[in-house]
Amino acid sequence: MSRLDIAGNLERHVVRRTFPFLTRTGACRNLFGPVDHDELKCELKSKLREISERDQTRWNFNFDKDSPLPGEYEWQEVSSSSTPVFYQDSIQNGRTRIVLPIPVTPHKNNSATSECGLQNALVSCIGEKDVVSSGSVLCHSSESNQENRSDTLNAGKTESLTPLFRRQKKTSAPVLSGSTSTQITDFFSKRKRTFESKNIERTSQHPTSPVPVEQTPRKRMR
Amino acid sequence: MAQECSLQYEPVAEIGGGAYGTVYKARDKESGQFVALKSVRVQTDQNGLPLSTVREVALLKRMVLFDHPNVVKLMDVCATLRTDQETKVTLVFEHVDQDLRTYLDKAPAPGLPEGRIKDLMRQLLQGLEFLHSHLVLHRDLKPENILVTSRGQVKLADFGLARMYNCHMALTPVVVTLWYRAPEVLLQSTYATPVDIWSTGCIFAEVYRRKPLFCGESEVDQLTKIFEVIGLPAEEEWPDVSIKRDNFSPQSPQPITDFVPDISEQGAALLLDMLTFDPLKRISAFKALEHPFFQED
Repeated sequence: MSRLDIAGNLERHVVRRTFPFLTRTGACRNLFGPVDHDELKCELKSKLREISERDQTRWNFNFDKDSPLPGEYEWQEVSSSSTPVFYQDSIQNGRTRIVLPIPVTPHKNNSATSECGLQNALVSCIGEKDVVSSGSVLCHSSESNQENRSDTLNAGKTESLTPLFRRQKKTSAPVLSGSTSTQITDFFSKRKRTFESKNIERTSQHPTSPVPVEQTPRKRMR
Repeated sequence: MAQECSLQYEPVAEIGGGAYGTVYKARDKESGQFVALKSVRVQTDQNGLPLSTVREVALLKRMVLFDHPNVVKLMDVCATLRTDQETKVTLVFEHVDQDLRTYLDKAPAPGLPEGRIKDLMRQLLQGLEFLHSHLVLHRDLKPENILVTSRGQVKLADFGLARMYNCHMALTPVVVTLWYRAPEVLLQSTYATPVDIWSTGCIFAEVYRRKPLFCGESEVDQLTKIFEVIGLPAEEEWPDVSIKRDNFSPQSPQPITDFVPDISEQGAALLLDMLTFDPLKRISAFKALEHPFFQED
């Protein structure tokens, strides 16, 4: 019986190994002919331009240059202090919003708290030239994500960041002067996985065998 | 240090120098209605506009079709390609002169009469019930996001794509206000529609007090301030999160009327239903609208 099992497993294993190969050839058929990506891009751009022009006419406003045009709507530029905060311009980077008052955990991906989101927002607010310099200063800690941090999570407060936020607090918002106040991350248990150990883990997995360990013996039996 | 300072402050100054600081608003000569523009600069990659943004726009546009009286009206969405890295999306909204923050600031000394409060809260909950019934979470309900028209009509704003922090706010701690944030969000647990009810509760109290109820400076401080009023929740109510219950000192619930003295008995009952720690036990928008507080007189 155990023999049968092994045979069955082997068979399944063979099927599993050949299956993707077979489907790949099947699905690779080109049903609609080659796509001219440049042409497509061009068409889409002209379509967008068309839409933009329609918008511009509808609202008699040049959305690209932020300038009113004569027409049905009487545009006026008002100070944002005289209008609800809601109408103020904003920046979107992925789905991220700022959650922590002092950025602590940089997430590279689309996760919630995002130091990097803030920095990208900063960066994108600025324009072209300064981006590189200030961006690199601010974002250098984002190179390693939270997972492979070797130190505590609060290490996100790098020297270049802390003064910026501290100063902000002292100058513009005396109400929130609690720069020494406890961070939520103080309450997290320390991660045991360090950068080094994770690296070892990663390299120790044989790069050419994506098959889970338990299946390796079966493979040998072949 | 001074050098470092100028290096880091420069970009901020440039934001101020740009279009930031002003808002475009217009009057439709025909209808006399006001509209205002809110532009959102979306950062794009080689795949163009992120799918999430496309979905958000689709959602916003779908919500418009219902034309709910308590949700700010979105008139149009206009996209312009800036660069390969940035697409500017301009949202054309109906313009409302003030938000609840300004409305409360302007309220005369004894505060708003309860009848007025009831009306505001009913409208707020109706807007929220509408969003929730369409599976939309607001997630950042606060007086700044609640518009009040000159006729006293409440309109929820700043959800979906419109809900994005702006440059200015990203740099000041004020914006990332934690004051209306539900405990489950502060604890980084899972969350759903009850988060908006928590915020509504905070706002409900604030409408009476004319000042915020829980003014925390950090997540932990915010939670501490919450527990000082509602008491430290029981161990079984504590979610499975990394922040442990024993980090907080034991507290028994305080009478809510100590913090909101002007509230009626029914109002206090509703407020407590909203400020319930366990999101599953917290009242829903739908149920809240049926609360005796709104039925009396």
